[in-house]
Amino acid sequence: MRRNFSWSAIFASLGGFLLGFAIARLPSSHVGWRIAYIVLGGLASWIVIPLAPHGSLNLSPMVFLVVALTSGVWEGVAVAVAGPVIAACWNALFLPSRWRRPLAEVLSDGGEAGVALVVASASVWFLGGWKLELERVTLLSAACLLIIVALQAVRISVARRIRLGRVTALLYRASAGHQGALFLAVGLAWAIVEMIGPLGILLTTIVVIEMYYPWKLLGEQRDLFLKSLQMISNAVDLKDPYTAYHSRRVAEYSAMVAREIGIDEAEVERIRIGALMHDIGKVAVPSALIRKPSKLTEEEMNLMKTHVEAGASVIEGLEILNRSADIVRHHHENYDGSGYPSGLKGRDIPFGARIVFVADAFDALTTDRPYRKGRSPDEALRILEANSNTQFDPIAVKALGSVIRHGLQIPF
Amino acid sequence: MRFSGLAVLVVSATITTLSLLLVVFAHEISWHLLPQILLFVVLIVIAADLMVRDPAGGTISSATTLFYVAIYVFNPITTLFTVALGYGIGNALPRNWVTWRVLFNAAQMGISAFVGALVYRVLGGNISAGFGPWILPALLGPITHHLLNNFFVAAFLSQSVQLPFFRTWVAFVREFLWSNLLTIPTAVLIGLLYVRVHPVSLLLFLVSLPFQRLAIKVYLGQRETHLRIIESLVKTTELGLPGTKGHSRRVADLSIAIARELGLSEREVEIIEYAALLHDVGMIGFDDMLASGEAYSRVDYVLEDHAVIGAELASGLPRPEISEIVRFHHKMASSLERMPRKRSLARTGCVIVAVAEEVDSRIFGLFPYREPQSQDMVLEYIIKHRGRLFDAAVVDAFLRVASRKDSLLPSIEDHAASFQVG
Repeated sequence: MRRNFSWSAIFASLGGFLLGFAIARLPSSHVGWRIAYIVLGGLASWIVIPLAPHGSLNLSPMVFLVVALTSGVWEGVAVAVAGPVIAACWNALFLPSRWRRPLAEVLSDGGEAGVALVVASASVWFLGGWKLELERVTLLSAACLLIIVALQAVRISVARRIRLGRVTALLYRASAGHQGALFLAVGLAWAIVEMIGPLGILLTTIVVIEMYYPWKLLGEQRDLFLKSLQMISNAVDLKDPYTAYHSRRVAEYSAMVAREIGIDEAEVERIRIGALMHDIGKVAVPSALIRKPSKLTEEEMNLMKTHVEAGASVIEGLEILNRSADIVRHHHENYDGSGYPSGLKGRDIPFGARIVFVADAFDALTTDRPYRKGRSPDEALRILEANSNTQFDPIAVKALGSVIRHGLQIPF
Repeated sequence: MRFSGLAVLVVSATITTLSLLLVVFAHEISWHLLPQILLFVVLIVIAADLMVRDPAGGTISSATTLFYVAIYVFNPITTLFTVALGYGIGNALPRNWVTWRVLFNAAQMGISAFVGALVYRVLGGNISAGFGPWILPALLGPITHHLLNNFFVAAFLSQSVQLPFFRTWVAFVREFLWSNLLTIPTAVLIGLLYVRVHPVSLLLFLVSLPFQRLAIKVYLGQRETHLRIIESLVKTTELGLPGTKGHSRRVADLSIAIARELGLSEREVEIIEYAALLHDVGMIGFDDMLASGEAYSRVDYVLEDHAVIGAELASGLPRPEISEIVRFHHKMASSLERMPRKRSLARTGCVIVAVAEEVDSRIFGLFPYREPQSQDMVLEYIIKHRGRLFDAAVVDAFLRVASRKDSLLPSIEDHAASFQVG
C-alpha cells in the first residue's frame, strides 16, 4: 500500500509540474479549443479497457497524441495530465464512492501519460525524427504508447511485488492488439485533422470511443461474473459462520502461489476459479454437520467427503467453470495417496488441486475456529512444511513459504 | 400468423406512401449522382445483412450510420430512394424473406429518412459549409429519423401483437436513443469526408464495422454464458433448501415480465434479472431451520436476516442496485418511500421483485407459507394490498401480465398442480 502511494505521489506531482509548465508555455489564444480537447481527453480516459491479469489501458493517448501532433507537445501534455481528472469528476458524479479510484491514483495516471509524452517527444526530437511529417507521427505515437505500458509495468511490479520482466511481458502481450488499434486510430485521426481541420479530432475520438464501448462493457461483464461467483461461494461458506469468505481467501492464496511458481496466466485463472468453487459441493451437506464443533463420526465424515464429487459434478455441467472441475474433485487428495475421493498420489494429482489443497489448509489454520484461535502465518507454514510429502505437495508449500516471506497481505 | 385489419392497414398505407412519393418526385432524384447512390446502396446492403443484437436490447444494424450520412449529403427524395432500395435489398437477402415484410421495412425506413432529410434541409443544414450553424440540423435530422422509424415499428407491433402503442413507441425510442445518438458523430465525420475530400471516403465505414461487431458479439455471448452459469449455481444452492426448486428462476421470469410491461430498458431488466436470481442467496445457511420447521416459529427473524445476509453478500457486486434489491425484497412498498431516489432503479427493482416473490411463494406454498394457494386467492390478496404492501403501478403491470393468455401464471399453476401430485 505504501509503495503504491509513493508511486502515485511521485507521478501526481510530476503531472502537476508538467501541467504548470505547459500552461505557462501555452499562448492564451484558442482557449475554447483547448478546453474542448481536455474534455475530450477526459471522455477518452473514461473508457478503460481492463487487461488480464494486471493493468488497464484507456483511450486518452488517442486524443493527446493527435493534439500533440497537430498543436504542439505542450498542448498535448495539458490534455494528457488534465484528462484523467475530468474522467474522475465524471465518475464521482455517477459512481458510488466504493467504486471510485483514489484521487492520488487518478492524478498519477495523468502524470504517467504526461511523462510518457514528454519522454517520447524528447527522444523523437533527439533522434532527429521531427523533419518528416510521417516519421514524426508514427515514431511519436509508437514511442509514447510503448512508454505508457512500460511505466504501468513498473508500477504494477513495484506495487504487487512481481518480477518486472514478467509483468512487462504479460502486459505487452495483453495490450498488443489494443495498442495496434490505438496506433492506427492516431494515424487516422491525424490524417483526418489534416483534411478537415480541428473538428476532425472531436469526431474521430467520439467514433473511436463508440467503437470501444463494447470492450468496456465486456470488461464490466467479466467483473460482474467473477464477483457473482464470489458471492455464491461466500453464501455457501456462510453455512458455517466460522468460514465466512473462506473461498475468496483460498482463491487469492492459490493465485499468489501459482504465480510464484510461474504458471502462465490462463492456468492461474483456471486455478483461481477452481479455488473459488472448491467447496460449492457443501450445499448438499446439511449445515448442522458443517457447523458441528465436535469430531464427526465415520458416517458423518463419509457424508462430508461427498462434497468434492458433488461440487465437481455441479461444475462439470457449466461452461468456463468446467475447466476447473478436476481441481474441485481432487482438492482433498493427499500427496502420499491417502486422500479422497480417488486416492491419487504425488504427480498424478492435478497440479491446481495440489495448490488449492495447500491454500485451503493454510486458510483453515490461520482463521479462528470455535475450539482454538487462528495461528500466525509462520506457524501455519511450519505445520504445512511438517506435513509436506505426506499430505501436501512440497513445491506448493515452498511457493507459499516464499509468498509469506515476501510479505503476505491477508486479504479481507 | 394472422394480423388484425389495422396492422394490415399500417403496412399497406406505409408502402403506398412510399410509392406515391417516388412517383410524384421522381424527377427530383439526383440521377447524376448515380455512382454515389450505388455505392451507398451496396454498403447499406452489406450493413443490413450484418445485423447484430444491441447490448441495450433489440437489434442494431450499422446501416443506421449510412442512413444519417445519406440525410446529410443527398436531397430528401434521393435519400428516400437510396435508403429504401438499399434496405429493401438487404432485407431480402436472408433465405426466409417475406415480401410484405421486405416492402414494409424498405418503405418505413425510406420515409423516415425522407422526413429526416427534409428536417435537415429546412433547418438550413449544409455540411459543406464551415463549422457551426449546421450542427443543430445535423442532430435533429437523424433524431427525426429515429422517432419516425420507431413510430412505424411500434405502430405495426402494437396492432399485430396487441401491445399498447404509445408505451411501446416510447420504450423503443428510449431503448435505441443512445446508440443512435452516438452514431451521429460517425455519420457527420463520414459526411464531412464525403463532401470535402472524396465520396470514396464512404468506404471508411467498412473499417470500423468488423471491429465493433466483434466486440459486441463477444460481449453478448459472454453475457449469456455468464448469466446461465450464475443461474445454474443458484439452482444448485437451492438444492440444499427444502422444496424451493426453481423458485429463483420463476421469480426472475415473473420480474422480467413485469419490468418489460412497465417499459424498463433492457439494461435495467438485466439488473433486475440478476437481483431476482440472487435474491434468496442469503437463505442458504437457514437450511436446518427450514427443514426442522423451526423457521416457522421465527418467521420475522428469518425473513429479515436472509435479506440482510444476501445484501451483504451482494454488496461486492459492481452493480450496487442488486444489493439494495436483495436487501428490501420483503419490505412493504409504502416503507420504501425514504429510499434515496423514488424513481431509482433500486426502488423499482425492489417493488417488482417483492410482488414476484410473494406470488411465487404463495402459489407454491414456500416459506413463510405452508400450503400452496390457488391463483385466484393469490390475485385477490395482491389486489387487496395494492398501494400499501405492493406498489400500485407494479401490481397493475403484474395483473396485465397475468391476464394475458400466454402469461406465466397458468403455467405456474399447472406446475403447482403436478408438484402437489408428485
